[in-house]
Amino acid sequence: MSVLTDDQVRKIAENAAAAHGVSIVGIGLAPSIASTGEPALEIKYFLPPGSVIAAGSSATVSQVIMEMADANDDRIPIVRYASSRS
Amino acid sequence: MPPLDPEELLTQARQLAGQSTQADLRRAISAAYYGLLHLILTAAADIVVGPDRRDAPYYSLVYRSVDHKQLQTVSKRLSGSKPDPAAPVEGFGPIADVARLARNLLELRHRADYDPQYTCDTSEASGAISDARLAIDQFKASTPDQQQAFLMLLLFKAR
Repeated sequence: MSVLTDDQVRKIAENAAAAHGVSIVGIGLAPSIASTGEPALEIKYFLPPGSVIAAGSSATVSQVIMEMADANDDRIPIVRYASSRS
Repeated sequence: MPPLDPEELLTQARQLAGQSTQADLRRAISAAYYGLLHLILTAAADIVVGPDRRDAPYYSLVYRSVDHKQLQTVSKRLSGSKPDPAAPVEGFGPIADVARLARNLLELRHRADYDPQYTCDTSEASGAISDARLAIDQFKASTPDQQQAFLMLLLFKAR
């Protein structure tokens, strides 16, 4: 099974958010299980307090999933957004 | 009878995402996923049976033949940027976004509907609605050949 390091995934996630103009204050990674029972990785973007979902948020999701597939990471990426508490 | 309108489901999702209870936020995510799913199912049944035959008894047969598992399989197959042998000459283009976002939405929907430990906030619900919106727009922006190739992969399992 091919797996990227957390640092590599974090870099992909940071670059995707920057490329699509999504302002974030942090990224959380957590191993998980997909609905199919396959290994998954939850990638959670934390948005600045009071901010709303930006126009590029979904393009960011798509890019992260594409880049993890291109890197042959076998885990199912599950990309989520959450508000940071102020 | 017309199929379920994806836009009505997205409207419902937006209304629910404006609420504060976990029940409403979870239902918003579920409605966003089903908005996209029903667009895909309608397109699949239309391409096989025809949009002018939506009242035919076998329309529902085709409509219901695409299951979540097949959507997961095809979405995973189209997630990367490498050319796929089933793609039309111009590649899958915007359909690749549809596949990636559908898979992500399906996982969020599964958690929202079934996971007792799952919690979400307005940002997550709004993100899911945004994902469904972009996926629907990208589906409509794709060419008939790209749509047809995607729908055939969903309808017919590769052997």
